[in-house]
Amino acid sequence: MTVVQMTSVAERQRTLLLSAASTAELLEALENPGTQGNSAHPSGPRLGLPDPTPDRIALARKVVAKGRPWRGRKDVWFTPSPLRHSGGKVAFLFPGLEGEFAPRIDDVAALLDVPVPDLSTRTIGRFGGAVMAVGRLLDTALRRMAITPDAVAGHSIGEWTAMIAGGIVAAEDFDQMLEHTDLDALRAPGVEFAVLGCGLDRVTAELETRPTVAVSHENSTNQTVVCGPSEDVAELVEHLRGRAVICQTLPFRSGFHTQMLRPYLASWANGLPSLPMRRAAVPVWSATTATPFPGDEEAARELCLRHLLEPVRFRTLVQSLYDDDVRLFVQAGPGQLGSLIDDTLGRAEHLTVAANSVHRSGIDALRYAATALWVEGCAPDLSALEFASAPVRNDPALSTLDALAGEFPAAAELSALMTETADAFAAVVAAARGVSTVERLTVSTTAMPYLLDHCLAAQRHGWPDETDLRPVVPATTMVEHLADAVERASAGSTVTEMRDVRFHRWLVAAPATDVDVEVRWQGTVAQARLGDHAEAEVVTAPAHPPAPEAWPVPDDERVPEITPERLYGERWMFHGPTFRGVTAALGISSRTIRGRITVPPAPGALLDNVGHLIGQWLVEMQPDRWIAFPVRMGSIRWYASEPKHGSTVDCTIRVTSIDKDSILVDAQVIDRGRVLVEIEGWEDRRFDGDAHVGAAHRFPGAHALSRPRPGGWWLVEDRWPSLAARELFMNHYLGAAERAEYEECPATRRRGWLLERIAAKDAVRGWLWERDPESVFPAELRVTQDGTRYRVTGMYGRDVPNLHVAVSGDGNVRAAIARAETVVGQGNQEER
Amino acid sequence: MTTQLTHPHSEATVLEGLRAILLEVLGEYDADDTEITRDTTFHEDLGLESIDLVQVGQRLAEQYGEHVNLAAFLADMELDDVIGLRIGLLVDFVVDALSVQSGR
Repeated sequence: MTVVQMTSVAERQRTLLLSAASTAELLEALENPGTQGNSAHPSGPRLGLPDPTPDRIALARKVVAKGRPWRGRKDVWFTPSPLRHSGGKVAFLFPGLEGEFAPRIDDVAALLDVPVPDLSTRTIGRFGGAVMAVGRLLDTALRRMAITPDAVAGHSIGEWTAMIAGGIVAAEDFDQMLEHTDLDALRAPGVEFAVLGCGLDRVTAELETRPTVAVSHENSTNQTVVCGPSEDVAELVEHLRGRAVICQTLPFRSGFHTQMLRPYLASWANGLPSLPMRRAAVPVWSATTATPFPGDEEAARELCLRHLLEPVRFRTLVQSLYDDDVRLFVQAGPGQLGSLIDDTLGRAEHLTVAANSVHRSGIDALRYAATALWVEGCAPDLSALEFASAPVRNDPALSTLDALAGEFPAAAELSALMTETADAFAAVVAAARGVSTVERLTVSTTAMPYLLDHCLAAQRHGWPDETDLRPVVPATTMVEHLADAVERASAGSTVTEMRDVRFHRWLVAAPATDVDVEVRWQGTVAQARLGDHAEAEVVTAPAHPPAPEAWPVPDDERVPEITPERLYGERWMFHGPTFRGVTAALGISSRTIRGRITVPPAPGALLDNVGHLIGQWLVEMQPDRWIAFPVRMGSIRWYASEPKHGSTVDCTIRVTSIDKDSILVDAQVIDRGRVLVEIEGWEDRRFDGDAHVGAAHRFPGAHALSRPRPGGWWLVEDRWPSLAARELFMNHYLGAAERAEYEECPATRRRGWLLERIAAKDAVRGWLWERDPESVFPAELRVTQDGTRYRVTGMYGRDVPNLHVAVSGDGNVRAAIARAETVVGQGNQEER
Repeated sequence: MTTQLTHPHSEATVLEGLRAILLEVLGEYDADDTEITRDTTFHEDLGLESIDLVQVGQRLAEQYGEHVNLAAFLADMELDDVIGLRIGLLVDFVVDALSVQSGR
């Protein structure tokens, strides 16, 4: 009897999977798709249609009738005899850098409950990091679906992904290394790549007379990549095009997989090749040797380094995998890697399928890939692609009512009624499944004037260049925008919870900018994103759930030292009036703080003030490291509408963990004993901020990051290893023109470049302060550089005499000195 | 191939020729009802990748002569253009290349 399997997900996501004893039976089943059977046909013909549209079913009929394999064209998969059943192995192949990089993984990340990786391709280092992150994410997703590889390999940097996926390098080791790596600072030679539409032999012959150009990739039977200085590559391309060879230069440069990388090898060798290596759990095939990696640690490391300097022999690798019985090639990433496999293997029996595609959502691409693999005899678990069922059904309030039903019959009725409501609600949401909305939000100080009370940099009163103030949208205001967008998209529902709220980068409001607020429904939960600045999983419900109990007042509290007047007046918190809400500091202990908040008018200000109290706890308890900004919140649950502007509420904060880099707290916002909002896992990233640095952060016009040294020198040390910290202090020190110069600066030079400006400005400010203690903000000074000569001038009316400024030092230290220019003939030696 | 040059190549005959080449590259047995018109896109509709253009170029040169140089034609295009390539554009290119040749 024929087996018809259908997955149980929503109708529009139906996947038709048919197996039968013969093609005739399969055809019959296709004509009667309602047929249900109960015996599988392990080696009989199989058909898979991911979304069985009439067109696909019509095509499937013809394909099955012909009885020959059909592997994926027009999204139909058919085989008379599954490859897996005749011993075909599965390999995951991870792509490297390609001309186009358009992964679709937001929904996959949400499904796996992990953050969406940084997908920027701005620099070669970041591009590589993004490609690897996508590969790893898909590897995890495929395995979650019970699709496991018998071998893994990669193209170019994809080989590193394969080393992690295959267990040679531990994922934790790699992640830890990334945290300490400035990807933007990684450098590679500026040599060009060209993709040539011909085989290796032809290219090798052409290169005999072109010693500066080298083969970097033997991609496939009809494709070879070369690398070299751009004019030499251009000449070869021109020559070959004249001989009808299709050529294309790639939009990124680097000398990877050639000896041209050798001068830059050290910084790359310090990355993955430096990590501990163990024996692979799944055979990892090298594209340098077209054999599996050696088990010996040092041999593996050596091969890993050779891979950077020697050609990628992808064609040979694919042929070797095929010779080792690999028949099912899964492209674990976006792009065109699969076409290289098809070009190499030609008509030899094999399946190539991509686990990600620009043409469909990330989850759909996985479902399509799983369909293809099922047809060839694998047993993927499609249910792994379904999001958890409606969260309203798991409401603990319902089970509480159910438990009470024995004693109070009315509780049973109420429970039934609530379940019914929840079902109706879930149905509405399910109907909206897959629908997404995008709204455009204009972010500027005109559209959001309150942002002038939320500026990262202080400037002289009346400073004319608004961009120097660095007004930013607070994390909690982003939360409010996400919640508002979801409520607008959900027609009448209320946001009751946000989970895994992440803040990726500052959203700076000057100059004005537009960002998209995107809401995508997945199951009954919305994924909301504010550009690439923030994202969250948002849960809506018809009404707020019952509130939990308020936490008891901690018994080891003392009276806080810092009053609200001091908290804001001394600029421990930089917020202006429309954000200042802490009106009483009630109690503080080694692990808690309580305060009173009078809700200020700015959107998002209530929760922002929860952050002010965290800040106050840090100032009092951790005075050497008190500067902190939110990066993530595990969950925010609302049990009532947020209190309006002018209402007064209490807030209790419990510190759950703290280390050098971050602080994690839980918090409750309470109105007369009733919990309105509860936050779990609010995480602030901490920055270096001892008394000296802290003073320069609070009052940049009167305090310097550099310290005065004997002889008039001002010395600054870089103690901000992370980019985020560097950028925080950069906001205080650079004016608009200098920020543009910083952006232009090669990533490897930026740290030193910034230190030089800080030292130069502090030396000049020191000189000015000696004569007049009045505040001088760093942005009032403009440093220009001509070779080794620095010139410091005043901006917007700041008067600076002609000073001779010298800067010296290297590494993490710079010292600067300012002296009055001695004008010959004037005899003015008064100034040293 | 010289016989081909003595006859004018209309758009229709070139489209027919291209259709045969594409079906061959697609690897589809029989003349399936794969519809190939001027509006058909190389990548999205046919599922072909840029590497498949190598074969298409070779077949075109075999059929119409080496002056039908697809590589030279593609040289001025950006990656996105190649990906979004419509069959009509290829037809025009072949017709142009042939008319230049016969005009000599």
